[in-house]
Amino acid sequence: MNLYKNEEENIYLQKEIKSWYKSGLICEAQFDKFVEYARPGVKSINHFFEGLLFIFTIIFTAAVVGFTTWKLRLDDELSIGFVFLFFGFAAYFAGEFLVKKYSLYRHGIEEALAISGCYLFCTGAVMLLRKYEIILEPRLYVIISSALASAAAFFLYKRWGYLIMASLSVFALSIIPFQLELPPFHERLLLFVTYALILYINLRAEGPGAPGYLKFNNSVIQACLLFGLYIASNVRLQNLQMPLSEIRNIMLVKYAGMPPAAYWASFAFIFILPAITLFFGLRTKKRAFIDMGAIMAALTICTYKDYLGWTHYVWEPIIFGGILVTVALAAIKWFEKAKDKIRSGYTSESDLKPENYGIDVSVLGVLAKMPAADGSFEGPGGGGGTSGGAGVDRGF
Amino acid sequence: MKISELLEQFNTEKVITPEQYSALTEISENRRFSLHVELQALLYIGVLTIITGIGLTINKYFAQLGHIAIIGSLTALFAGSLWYCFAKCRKGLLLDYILLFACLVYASDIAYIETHFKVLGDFWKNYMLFSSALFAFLAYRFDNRLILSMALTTLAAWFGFKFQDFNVSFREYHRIYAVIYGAMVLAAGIILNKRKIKEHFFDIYLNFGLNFIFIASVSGVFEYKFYSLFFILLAGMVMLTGLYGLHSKSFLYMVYAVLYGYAGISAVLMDFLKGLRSPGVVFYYYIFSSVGILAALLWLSRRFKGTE
Repeated sequence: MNLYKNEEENIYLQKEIKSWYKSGLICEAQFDKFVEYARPGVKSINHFFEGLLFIFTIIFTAAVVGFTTWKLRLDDELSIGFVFLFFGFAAYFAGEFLVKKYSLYRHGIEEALAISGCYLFCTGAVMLLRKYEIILEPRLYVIISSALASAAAFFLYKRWGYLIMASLSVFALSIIPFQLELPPFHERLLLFVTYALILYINLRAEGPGAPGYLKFNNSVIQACLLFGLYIASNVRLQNLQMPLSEIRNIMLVKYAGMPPAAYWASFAFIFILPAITLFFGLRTKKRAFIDMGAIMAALTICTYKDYLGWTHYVWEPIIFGGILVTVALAAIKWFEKAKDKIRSGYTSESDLKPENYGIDVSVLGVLAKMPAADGSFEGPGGGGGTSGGAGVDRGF
Repeated sequence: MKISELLEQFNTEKVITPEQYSALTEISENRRFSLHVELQALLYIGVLTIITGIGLTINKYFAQLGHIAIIGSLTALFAGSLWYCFAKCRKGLLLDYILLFACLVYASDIAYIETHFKVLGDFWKNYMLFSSALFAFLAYRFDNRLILSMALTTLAAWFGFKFQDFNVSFREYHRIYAVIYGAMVLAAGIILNKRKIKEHFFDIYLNFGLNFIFIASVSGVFEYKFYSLFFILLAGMVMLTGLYGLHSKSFLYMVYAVLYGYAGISAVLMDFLKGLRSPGVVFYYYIFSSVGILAALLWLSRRFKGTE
């Protein structure tokens, strides 16, 4: 089904080789030699060009659909629905044509055509269903839209290999249980079962001899599904937005509106799931599982007190941050003391360098933590003004 | 072909050395698995969480703790961290995060002092100028890009900016100050780069300077359309940035030039087309302009093929 079935492995291989070259593990001549053997039969492009081509193809598609609707003077849902369906098909098949004719891979244009094609098709289909009064209830409208979006996203993943579409498909599907007017516990249970079922199917579908790119894709999908299971089972996650003070306990709903047995089962599960995910990730050396396990563990630390009705204190982040720093430093020291800085196949050294695009995402995290206050703008220097950076601030 | 087979073949053909073969096989077969990113993330999140906790604790307990205890402990933490950085100035992962911690503690300390004692009164914002200079010094002393970003953000705060101010409706004086700030940052970056002082910091200066100037000029063009200096400024900056991006093969700058340029030109043309009272012309504009840009980008991408 995959459009790039015969090429995905070579593309995956080429990415690996490129990271070796960028990390200085092989020289340019060796890189050329490697690429010669692993050259995929498709044409890819720089990520920045890809992004720009994607944006302008979307603008083009939207303008063409808008122009047609305006030119034909369409103002009823039925006709617009048909136009959307027509352009949905046209855009999608134009994308496929470009891939088959010009062997494009992540070029932006064909991606935008395929994604906008699926979007137009789904929107058009829902418009037609509504027009013919097939959908009578508003919630049914949401259910059908979510199911269509999920199916379209899954199709895009299978056909085009967009990993993000697999997550989008699962996300769209997870909207459905909340539209069935079930009690909260049943909603969560249905969501949990849905994620568990998809996870089971995914695990079964991956054969032992799966190629590297598929193993990687599946590990990301499985880790995301485990995270979905965690979100479905942690009934205290929504309390994270509450203030860290004594009144938090008063605000908490007893058993979070769940049956007590389910509540305590969920309490046990939020400890077991991160532990299993982390353990499995470390054992199989799958990064997606390690990272997702660590995120889940952090969320468990943040929410377990709410389960027990214990008081949160404002100084807890200091302790938590201190533990994170200590663990990281201890691990680094522990690895450094080992021969070749390797222990059981793990190292704290950076073997492969990520690509540098000239922007640093970590900056945003620091800027968000700097003391800030609201106020009016007064220009540089004096005045009672605004702050956004380090230094002083009226509303500390 | 599988990667292990390829490595085996190249080892036999002596394309790679036995040491390379062993290292690459270890990496590709996951026998050597790096936890570098994860450990760095732990340190980074840990430092930010500690600072959040310190801020919350001071906010809640300052009445019980007393000024001396708070200022004393924050100053001690700042001094201790800075002492560590200067004493153990060997570049490393730990040093970077202790420096980050020191800078954030310093910011909290100064904020607390000014909030409660109002030392500089109405001129309190000048602390930011001093903070910016201190961060810039530390960034250069310890070769830290993150701290340089903090320095430039603090300088922007002294100019009166914060994240929420970045919208197209900001007022005239915001634009002028944004242009002045952007020009200053760009000039500093260019001069330091020309003198070969920490050339790897150049990207940070460019990103800060260009975005400030572009946002200011695009917002000016949205308000005054064609008849303003902002349009000339935008046109000039788009040309210079685009050329620089292509010349240096830093395509991020080309993205800035194309997106900001398209937004500005579209605003001007929409204003002209509004007089024609025909939505069809607007659609024609977007259809033909996007096709034109797509063609140009495809031509450029072919020209720069293989330079990624």
